[in-house]
Formats: sequence, structure tokens, C-alpha cells
Amino acid sequence: MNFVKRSFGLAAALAVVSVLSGVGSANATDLTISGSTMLFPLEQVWANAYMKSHPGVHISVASTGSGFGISNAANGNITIGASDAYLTKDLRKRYESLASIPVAFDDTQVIYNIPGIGKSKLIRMDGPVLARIFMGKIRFWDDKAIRAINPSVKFPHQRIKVIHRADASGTTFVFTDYLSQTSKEWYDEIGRDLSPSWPVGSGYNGSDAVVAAVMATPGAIGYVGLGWINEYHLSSMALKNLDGYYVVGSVKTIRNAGKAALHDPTFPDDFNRSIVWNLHGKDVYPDANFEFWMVSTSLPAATMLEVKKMIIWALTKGQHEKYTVKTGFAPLPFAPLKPRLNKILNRLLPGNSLKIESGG
Amino acid sequence: MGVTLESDTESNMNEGQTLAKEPLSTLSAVPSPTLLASSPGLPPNPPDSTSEQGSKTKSVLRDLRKVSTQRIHRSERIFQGTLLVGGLFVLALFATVLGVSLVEAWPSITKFGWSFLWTSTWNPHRHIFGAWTYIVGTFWVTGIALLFAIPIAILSSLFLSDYSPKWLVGAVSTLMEMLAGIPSIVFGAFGIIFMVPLLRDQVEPFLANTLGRHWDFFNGDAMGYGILAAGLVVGIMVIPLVATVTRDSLVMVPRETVEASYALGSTKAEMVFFVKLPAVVPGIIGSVILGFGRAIGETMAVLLLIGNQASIPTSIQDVGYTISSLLANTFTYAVIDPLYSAAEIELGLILLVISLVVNTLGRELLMKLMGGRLAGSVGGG
Amino acid sequence: MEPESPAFPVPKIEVKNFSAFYGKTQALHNVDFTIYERKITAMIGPSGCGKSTFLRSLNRMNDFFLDFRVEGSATLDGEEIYGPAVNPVLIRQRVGMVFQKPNPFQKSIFENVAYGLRIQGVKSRSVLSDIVEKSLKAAALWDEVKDRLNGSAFSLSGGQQQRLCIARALAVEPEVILLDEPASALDPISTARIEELMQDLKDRYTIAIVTHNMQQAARVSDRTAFFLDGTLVEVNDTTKIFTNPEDPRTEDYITGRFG
Repeated sequence: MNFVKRSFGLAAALAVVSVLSGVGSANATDLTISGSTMLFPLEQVWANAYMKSHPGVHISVASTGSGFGISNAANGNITIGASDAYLTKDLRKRYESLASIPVAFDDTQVIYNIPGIGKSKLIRMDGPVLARIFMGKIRFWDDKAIRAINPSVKFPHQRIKVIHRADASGTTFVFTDYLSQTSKEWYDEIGRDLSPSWPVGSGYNGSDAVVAAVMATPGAIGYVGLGWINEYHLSSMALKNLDGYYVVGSVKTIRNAGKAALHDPTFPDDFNRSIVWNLHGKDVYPDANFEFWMVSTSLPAATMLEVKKMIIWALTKGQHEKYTVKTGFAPLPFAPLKPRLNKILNRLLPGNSLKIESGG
Repeated sequence: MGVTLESDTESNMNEGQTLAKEPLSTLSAVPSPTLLASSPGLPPNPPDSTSEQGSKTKSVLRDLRKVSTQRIHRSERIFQGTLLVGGLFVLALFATVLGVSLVEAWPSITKFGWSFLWTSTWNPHRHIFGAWTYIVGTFWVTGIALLFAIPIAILSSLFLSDYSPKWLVGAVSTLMEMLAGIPSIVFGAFGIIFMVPLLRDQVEPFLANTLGRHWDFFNGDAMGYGILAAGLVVGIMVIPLVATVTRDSLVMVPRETVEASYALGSTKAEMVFFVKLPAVVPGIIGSVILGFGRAIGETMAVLLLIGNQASIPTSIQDVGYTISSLLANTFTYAVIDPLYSAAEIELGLILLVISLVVNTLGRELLMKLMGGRLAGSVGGG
Repeated sequence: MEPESPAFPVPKIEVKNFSAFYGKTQALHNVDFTIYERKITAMIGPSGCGKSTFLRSLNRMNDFFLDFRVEGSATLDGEEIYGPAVNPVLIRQRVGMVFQKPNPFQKSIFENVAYGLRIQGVKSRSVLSDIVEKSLKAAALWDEVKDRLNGSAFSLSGGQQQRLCIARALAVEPEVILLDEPASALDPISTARIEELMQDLKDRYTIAIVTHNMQQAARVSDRTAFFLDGTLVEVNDTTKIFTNPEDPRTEDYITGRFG
């Protein structure tokens, strides 16, 4: 079992190193980051900026999927694994050495293609109805349940065509997490996963393909992250949050969600929970999530020092909008994050002087 | 892919083995012409054989032959060795792929046993894995592809061999070769920009309004994406394969047989239908097997078009999922869970076994059909 | 049909001033020649003399060469073979052909003989069986194959295959049978059987045979035509040609001075 995994990881790591190794000098520090395809664009701009300001450090970035990000980071094949999902109980047990560091905000938004309904019209949606749509139990756009939350919208009698991701995806994880938290049916029958067993619909590889399929298919409903909403100027549904407000996802409402989570004293210090749904507030979007870097606590001390420097840079200077918003993420709110992050950093390399002091 | 690889492997192995054995026995048992020539008494004695010059020439010649015999021995052995390495390498490669896959799939094989094959639930969350949905999806796409490709390929090759003007033959053959060389992702993209809208806006509504009135099998959501789109595009990829082999076997139909048919007063159509078509049946079967191998493993184009939904299609308009597109979509994620990845590797093994079985059955059938013909052509006289 | 030949020979195929071309190459030069009903006409001459081209012109088997064309007149029962409204398929139904190399189809013995009937739409099994039997008997093959009619045609020997091809040609009831060196690929015993068969068939069919073998022409034919370099040098009763040819070139050829 491990033979194949290790060789896969090794191959991925080797590929990355060989692509970029021409740039670094012989005694440079080499950091390899790989995993989440979603986080990949942000990591690329970070790596470029960081290498410019830190000569002697060499960073290779690869996009291999969150699954490989997690397992390779745990095996020590790479220095930093990127993941869209937090470590669930199962995974925490399997990969005990991993610490998750939130590095940016993302969300999942629901997009649609309903004939006769223009972009300017706001469609509202709540978790239970959305879950029933994605389970194939609500089959037409003019279903009672949909009309009940949108009394002012005239829906056509059109089949709903569910469109989801086919590949394992953090976007899917966040989306199904929202459904799991708001719908018992969904939680019982399907649950949250990067690649759940979809009861209906059709699947597409990557968010671009989901956008394309939704745009091309009359009656379609699908979901993508903030970056795609901005890039393709899509309109998304307003989702109902815990306090009953319908909120459209945006940099601002996602940050609000993050702040609400971090101010919540029950939110775990090791970030082993998503930040959907269970948050109060008027402008709090209910389907946001952290993007994570996974670092193994068993890295050698020298490497760990460099990793910590890099993490601190990413969490401070790296949160500038020219990096985060440009690549489809919302910057982390600094103040409420600081104490928790310092705890995590201390876990990675105890008793050191590197701490997060100020925002970027 | 699996199919061709397998057949290559086997033929290479056979070659390697025979070449490795044969020369040893040949050299020891049957003297080569050179050896015969150097044996005493055979070379004619020149008239001046008693002179010093004559005996010197003779001894040089004899040494020359000795040396060249050694040289032949050595180069033969080097050549054999090289071939043996090549043959063994392919053998080792195949064994490695099979062995590693078996080891990796073992947790799933032991946990689910044979029921893995007919279980249609695939739920990584609950650790229930079954291949049935993906096996069915794979056969749907392959079936549609072949049903679409075979008639078109046969018709086009018959047209090219008997009805087309000469200039068109060259043009179409070149195009066919180019078509065969296009990467599958390009076909996938073509499917998205052309086939999907065509199916969604024209073909599928039409099917629903005609055949769909009587049979639910032709009804559906008119998505464009689905087993039909995937099958048709894979079919397009299979056409050059079947067409080329069919054309090759059409060319092999003896001119005399064709003339015999004409001389009995058949029209061209009758000749083609009664003489050419039956004669190329083995070729067609062979090409269909090749096409099957191509279609069953096709990944990228299918992944883009099939709708990747783990459900068993009940209509031609439905979406579905194939083994190869499931692996491409989720394998990088499955590795975080040993049973999950084992189940996916077991799916890969199933694909391998299906290819092997079809390939073997097809070859047997081909041998049977071709065997009769071979025996016939030998028996005349 | 009367079993005896009429006293005066009746022309079946008449060829006048007939020339044939493959592209720019002229293969036949102004041939004038008549083939009589229920006679065996042999065509002899060295390789490349045009005798095969001539034979194949009579049932339009040369049409498959794209640049083949003819000039002059060739008639079957007074009807132009190359007339503008004539369908070559109909000509070939009336003028059958047996080729140099036995060329049975990849089918059973029965189906080989039934082939011509099937494509003409005969479906009744009993009619087919009847005609197949008659044709195989006429080709003197029946006794050898009657127990294995469903066996492959390729299981027969070369000589049997050639007789099968003759049976196959007979099954569609042609008026004329063209034989293009039918025995050249066969052993002497098979050749003798084919020659015997021709004598039997002569009572009912008009036969034209191209042969390399002058003894064969002398043995089987009533009339013989000698071709040289695409021209018809001489045509006459076989006995006359072989005993007292008019043209010195004919004499040179049959006495073996060239060719």
C-alpha cells in the first residue's frame, strides 16, 4: 500500500523540484508546497513574491489535489500540503502529526440558469430546500418549496438539472457541509465529503467546467467558489444563515463569517471545524471556509524554521488584496486570528521567538 | 490501451523466446553454409596447390572462415541477448503492473469479495464500494461507440475501395490517419462545443418526440452531456481504427473472386454485399476488438462528456460514469483512505480483465474464422 | 433445344472492325471474327497477343479497367454488346466466364453454385437444390461432392474447384461460356476431365476458349483463331489451321518456331 503512495508522492515532488530547481542556488532552502487545486493560484503568486523578498529561499508549488496534499505532507514528501478541507476526526486519527493552518478564505456559492429569470433578480435559497434539490426530491423550478421562499419571483415549469463537481473538491466539501448542517436528510443520506455519492445530477471536472455546464444548460443549478463568481460575473443565490438572513457571498460577507467564527469562543483552536451555518449576524455568509496549509510537526527543525517564516509572511503581508482577492479569496481578519495562530505555530516548533506580531 | 499493450506484450515475448532458443539449437544441429564450405575436400584444389603460395592462401582462407564463424557466433549471441532483455523487460513490466495493482487492491478484494462486481453502491463515506454502476457505464459508452463507429467505418471503407474516385481515396485515407492521431482531449473539447449543443438542442428533443413517445428509453432531460455524447465521440475516435483495418482486408479480397461475381451477372452492389463483405468479416471482427480496447479505456473525452454521475442509465439520454473517468476524477483524493484507493485500483483491475477477456475471445474467434480461410487457400491444388 | 448442331453454323457473336484500348495502348487492332452457336472456338497466340483481352471484351469484363475503351462493333445475337443502352450485367448473365485460376467464393459448395441464382432473386430452396444438382452434374462434379455440399469450396482440389466454377457458371443458364485458359493451373488428369466436359457442354452451349496449349486447341475446338500482336492473323476450322494454315505466321507459331 505504502509503496505506491510513497512513489506517487515522490514522483509528484520530484516533478515539482525538477521544474523549478534551475532557479535556486545550491545552498538555498527548498520548500515544496502541493495539494489543493483551488489554492494553487494564490500559492503561485505568494511563492513568486516571497522568493523575490527572501533570496536564498526556493519554493516549488504544484497542484495535485487536496488528498495528495494531506497524505504527502503527513509522509514528509513535501513541506506544506494544501487542502480545501479541514481534518475530519478520521483524518486527524490517521495523520496525527498534521497541524492545519488557515491561510485564506473561500466560499461556495450557488449558481443557476433559469430561463426567463434575469441576472438582476435575487433568488433566495435555504439549506433544506437546496438539499432536496440536490437529492432529486424537488424536480421543478416552480416547486412550492422554492416559490415559498421567493414569493416575488415567477418561476417557469422547468426541470431542475443538478450540476456538481466530478473530481474530489474542496468546493464540494464546503457545499455539502452547508447541506449537512442544515438538512438532516442530507446529513443522514449523503453527508459531507470532497467527493460524495451524488444521488442525482451530472458531474464535471473542475469549477470552470461546472460554470460552462450551468451556463449551457437551461434549468441548471450548480456551485462554485468566490473566484469563479467574480471571474465570470455570475449571479449567485442568497443563502439563508443561522439568524434567518439571506446573504449573497462576497469578500465582505465571507470575512464577516470568518470574524464571527473566530470570535466564537467555542470554535476549536486547531480549526477542525468548518465555518458554515452555525454563525450569527446579519451580513454573515453561511457557506464560507478556510483554506488550509497542512504541516507535519515531525519536520526537521531547520526546515520548520523556514516554514514558519513563510507561514507568518503568508498570514501577514500575504493577505494583501493584491494576492488574495486577485486570485479569488478573501483575506483573513488579522486581530481575532492572532492568538489561535500563535498557538498553532508554537505546536509546530515549541519555544521559539517567531510569533505573529502585526498584520500585513 | 490495455488491449493493445497486452497483445504487444505477448507477441514480443513469443518473439523473444523463440529467438532466444532457436539459434542455439540451429547452430549446433545444422552446420551453416560457411561451415560446410570449410570442411576438407569440398573446395576444389587449384592446380598450383603444391606451391608455397597456394598453401598459404589456403591457410589464410581457413583462418578467415574460423574467425568469421566465431564472429557470427558472437554477434548472434549479442543480438539474442539484447532481444531477450527487451522481451523480459516487457514481461517484467506487465508483471509489475499486475502485481502492484493486486497488492494495492487487496484490502478491497478481501473485504468485498465477488460481490464487489454486482454491488451498485459506491459510498466512500460509509466504506461501501461496488463496481456495478461503473461497469455498466463503461459498457454503455463502449457499446454506443461501437454501434456508431462500425457501420460508418464499414460503409466508408467500402465506399473508398469500390465507389470513390481515386483522388478522394488518397485524401480520405490521409484524413483517417490524421484522425487516428488526434489526442483524445481534442475530441473531448470538440464534443463539448459541438456534440453537446447538437444533442441538447436537436437530437435529444427529436428522440423524445418520436421514439420517446413509445419507449422511455429515448426520453430524458436533453442535457447534451451523457452516455450518448460520450459514446458518439468515442465512436468518432474508433472509426479510423475500424475503417483502416476493414480497408486493409478489403484490399486483400482477390481480384479473381470479384471478377467471378461479376462474371455471374452480379451488379456492383451485389458483388460488394455478397462477396466483399463476407470476405472481410474476420478483419472487421479484429478491428472491432481493437476498437473495443480503445473505447473501453478512453478516459479524457469520456470524462468531459459523460456527466460523471454514478447512476445506472435507463435512457440513452442519461448521464453515467465509467471506470476510467471515475479513476481520473477521484483517484488523487482516494489515496487518503486505504480502502477507498484499494477499491479504485480494483476497478482498474476489472478494466484490465475485461480487456484481456474480450481480446482473447476476439482472437480465438478470429483464428477460427481466419483459420478456415487459411486452410482453404493451402488446400487448393 | 435440339441435341444436334444445325447443318449450317449460326453466328452467335459477330465482331467487326473491333479495336480495344487501355488508355493510349491499343491492345486489339480491327478484329473481324465470328463465333458460331454450339461450337467450340479456340483462341491461340503468344502471351500478350490480345487473345485474353478479346475474350474478356465479349462479356465486358474489361469495363473495370478505368481507361479501357473499344471501337467497332461486337454483337450478341445481333445486339450491340457495347451499345449505349446495354447494361453489362445483363450481357454477363448471358455470357458466362471461367477463369484461369479456380476462383470459388469463400462459401459452401452449394452456395457457390447457387450464387448466381440467389443474386437474381431465386429464393426457393427446392428450385435452388434442383439447379445446383443439375449444374454439378453437367460439370461432372456431382458424384464427387454430393455428400458434402455444405463443405467449404476450398476443401476441393484445384481441378474440382475449376469444375465447380464451371458448374457455377452453368447454373445461371448462360448462352455463351468463355473459358480463359481454364486448365493452365491444373494437372494433366484434371485437364483431361475439363476437356471431356467441354465436349459434353458443346451440345448446349456456345463455347469460346483461350488457351496456351496448342494440342488442347487442336483436341477440343471446332474452329481456331490465331492472334499476334493484337491482330487476328487467321481464323478457320481447327483441322485446317493445324494442317494447312494460310498465313506463314500461323504456321511458324504452330510448328513452334516462335512463341
